[in-house]
Amino acid sequence: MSFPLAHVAHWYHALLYLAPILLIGLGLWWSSRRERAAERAAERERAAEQPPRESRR
Amino acid sequence: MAHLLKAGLPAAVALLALPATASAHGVGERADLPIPLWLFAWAAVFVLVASFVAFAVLWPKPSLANRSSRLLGRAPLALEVLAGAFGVFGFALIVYVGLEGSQTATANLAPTAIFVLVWVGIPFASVLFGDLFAVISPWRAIGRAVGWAAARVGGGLPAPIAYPDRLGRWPAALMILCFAWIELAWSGREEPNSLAIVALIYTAVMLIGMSCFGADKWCRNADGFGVAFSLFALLAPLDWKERRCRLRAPLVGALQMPQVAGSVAVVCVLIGSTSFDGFSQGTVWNGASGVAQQLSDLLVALGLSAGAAVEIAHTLGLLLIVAVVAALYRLAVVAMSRTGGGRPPTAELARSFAHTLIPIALAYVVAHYLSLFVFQGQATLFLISDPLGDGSDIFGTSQSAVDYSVLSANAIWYAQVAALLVGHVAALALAHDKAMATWASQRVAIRSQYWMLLVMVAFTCIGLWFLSAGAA
Repeated sequence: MSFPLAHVAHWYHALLYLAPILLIGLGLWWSSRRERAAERAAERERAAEQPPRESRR
Repeated sequence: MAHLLKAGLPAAVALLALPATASAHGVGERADLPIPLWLFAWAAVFVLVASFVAFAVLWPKPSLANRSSRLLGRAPLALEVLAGAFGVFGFALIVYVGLEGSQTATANLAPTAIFVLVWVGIPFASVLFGDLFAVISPWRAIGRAVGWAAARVGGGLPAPIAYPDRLGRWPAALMILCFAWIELAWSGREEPNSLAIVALIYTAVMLIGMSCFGADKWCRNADGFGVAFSLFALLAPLDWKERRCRLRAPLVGALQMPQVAGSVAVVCVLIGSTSFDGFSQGTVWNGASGVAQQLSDLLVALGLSAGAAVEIAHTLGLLLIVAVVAALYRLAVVAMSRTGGGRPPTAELARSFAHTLIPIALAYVVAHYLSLFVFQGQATLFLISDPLGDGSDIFGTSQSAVDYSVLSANAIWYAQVAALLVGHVAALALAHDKAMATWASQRVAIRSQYWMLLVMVAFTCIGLWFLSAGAA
């Protein structure tokens, strides 16, 4: 059995076709994560701006 | 941006300087294209992402459902009857020449008629002129003729059994899968005799189904050919209903796809089977030490005959690629549903977005079968003059030959890339419009489509990889 790297010229082209899928996938994952973080930060800010409720006596 | 350029430019230069793929396995690059084949995939991804951004910015509300259509005219009933008679005659001719003609596939009209004129030619015609197969389908024509004759003679046929909603279009998906298996895995696919017998078995299934559930209901749900061609016809500018012809805007027809059980399976089988056709011609699958060979060797070692091992290996490959396509779509739908907070539920979303896969299915048919249609389609000219392959010359064209200079290899490659690109951009547009109609928040709608974009990118890149491996 030969080491796969010895045949790199036979299959590397497949990686060139699959790389954009990984790149776009990572980009979209990062983007949606950042958007969710921004939404959570905005919610926290809104909560902080609201006046504290009066405690029951 | 400057950082990106600094990092990206040397990497791009290094990629371009990589050696071409090893030609020993038949996967060489085309020497006369201006850029390497894989760079087309990167360019296609760029166009998809740019289209996605453009839709997000310029398409804030759903608009496809509101487009009106214009009545062009009405076809006479006689034309429908003639078309049905033509379909029955054509089918009978294919079966007859398959049974009685030469058993050499290239000398008999039947294989070319089934695999090229019907399976590829009718989708091409359907996307231009509408659902032609609905009127030339021999099975529907026979069913309607029997119904009409029964009404004239003996007061009509007994009422059909109610078609189960749960069954939906699953029978059609199964029929298409069986046809794909015959085309891609079955060893008897090149024997005209065997093809004719299969056509007769299919006819028997159709007649039994129609007699139980009614001709129209059965053909709309269980006739694999009728269902597949009617999906492609949804993209046509002409919309035929009850012999009335209307002109409609591009993509609008796709919204009319019935959201019934099995509708997702039909498009996944269409895309998966065409993809496997491309994949099976590449060296990764079909090479001297490719997956097919290794799998066949394993099955032979388990005690199977060489022929059965090849058939089973191809069957497994076909099922695997169909499953991969279905899994990719499922992943996108699950991610969409999660983005929308679980509403609508996954099953409902899967059906309501299924129409977005129709342009992709058509793009795959064009990309994979264009050259077959252009070259082998020309063979019809001499086969029609000598359908049995017995040396006759009915129309005086039996000596004509296939002209391979009609389309160059590069022209085919450009057409394939263009078909895949247009199909996936159209799919993105349909998905974007549907998302805008599904979620009230524009932000949620756009974010839900991140995953659809990823699936489109995956389909495009994998499709181009299969094409490049098969055609280079």
